[in-house]
Amino acid sequence: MSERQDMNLTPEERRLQEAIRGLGEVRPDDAFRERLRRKFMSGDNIVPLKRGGNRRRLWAAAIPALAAVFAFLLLSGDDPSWVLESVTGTGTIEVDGRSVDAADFAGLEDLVKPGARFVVPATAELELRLGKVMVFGIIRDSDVTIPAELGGLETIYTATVDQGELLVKTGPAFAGEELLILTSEGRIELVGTTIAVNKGDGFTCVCVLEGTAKIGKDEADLDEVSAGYRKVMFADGSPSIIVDIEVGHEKDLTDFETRNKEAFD
Amino acid sequence: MGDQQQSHRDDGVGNNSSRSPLTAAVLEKVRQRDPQALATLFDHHFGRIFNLAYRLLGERTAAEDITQEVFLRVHRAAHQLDTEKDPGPWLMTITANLCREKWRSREGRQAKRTASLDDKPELAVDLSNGSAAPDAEVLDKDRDRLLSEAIGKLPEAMRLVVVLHDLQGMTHEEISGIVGDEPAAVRKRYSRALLKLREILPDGLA
Repeated sequence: MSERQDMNLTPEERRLQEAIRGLGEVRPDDAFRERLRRKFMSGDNIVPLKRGGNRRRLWAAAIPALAAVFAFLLLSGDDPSWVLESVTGTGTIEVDGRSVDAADFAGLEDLVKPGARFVVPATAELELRLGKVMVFGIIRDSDVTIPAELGGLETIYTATVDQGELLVKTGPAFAGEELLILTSEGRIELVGTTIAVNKGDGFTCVCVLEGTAKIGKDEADLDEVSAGYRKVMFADGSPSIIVDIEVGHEKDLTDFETRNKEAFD
Repeated sequence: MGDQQQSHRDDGVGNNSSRSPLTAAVLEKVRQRDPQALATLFDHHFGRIFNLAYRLLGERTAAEDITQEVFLRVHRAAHQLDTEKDPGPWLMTITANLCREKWRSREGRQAKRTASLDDKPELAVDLSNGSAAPDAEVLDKDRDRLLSEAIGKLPEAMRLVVVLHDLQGMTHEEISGIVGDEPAAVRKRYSRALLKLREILPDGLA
């Protein structure tokens, strides 16, 4: 350890070294720390979904920790709920098979619940928020199922995009969580970012505006896609491609980001 | 000296500030993925891992991503843990390697970004106008910030050595085990990094 004293430094270098060593620590976000700690203790939550080999053993280790988490949740009782933030446009929106006019905000609001499926016409858009965890924008001719509540066997937020475009922005309470978005062409794994998932006929295009997302047809195909890029996966077996973000989706995302800049304040 | 520096640095979150190594008995339970032992390991190393990732990447979100990935990997590989060794260097190695992967993925992105800026010279001019030299008052106020930014501007191999040596309290020998170079090469790189920092920093601060 004496080597750290670096005997051959000039006085200037020594002062610089002392200044560096005097830099303060960066305090991690407490909520992130607690979530990750719980997940690390239970193990199951941080193992990607399709990794089945150790699940039985992990569950055995997870049971006491999960019991503690359940007790905590029962006591705290302040889990966020999905709320309808806005609806724009006209037409009929289907929520879990029930049709509601886009102008009937209260009627739509009543149907919003975890795990609900939204079929939005080409003439309307809506935005949903889960506390400070995430905001979803479901836009233009889309069919999207939002995540169910976490708890029990649901350890990862999971959404499905059957058609159209889903915009996602994660918030401060998302730290330490994971969001999995499934389409018929692949999967998108997020740990905090702003992205658009566009499910077209025979392809899924995922644009990343902020942060990074793991995107692939399956786990073997997962790529870490950075901000400014998109990955397109095809249903016909063509190789996936990673290219610059699509201009139209980048604009959608930037507008979405601007609208929701203070969503979590 | 190094030990002392570690002792006040490693909690990072106000918990478990003592840096006495985890016992072989605890590590054996970590191998068995005992939840309490995993919690102990987490408390012992979380702050240090997060801070290393943050100092190397300069972004909180990226540091959180890396920290999560480190603990994911540790959980997967827990059964391979050597109970006779301090897992600290192993964890630092995983963290450093993940950060280096991140740098590589950023390099491609930045290369593309640079190319697109070259296509838009007027934008490049606007960006360069934003980086005016800070005056003395700013220097006084933001010394730590400037120093952090300067560390962030170091070439990655140099940044890694400076962060591990001065902020993580590791010796050049310990660092050589992480970066895969001889201790003498690490020492030389550290020395060059200090020179480079003096070039980067404004005169008053350097």
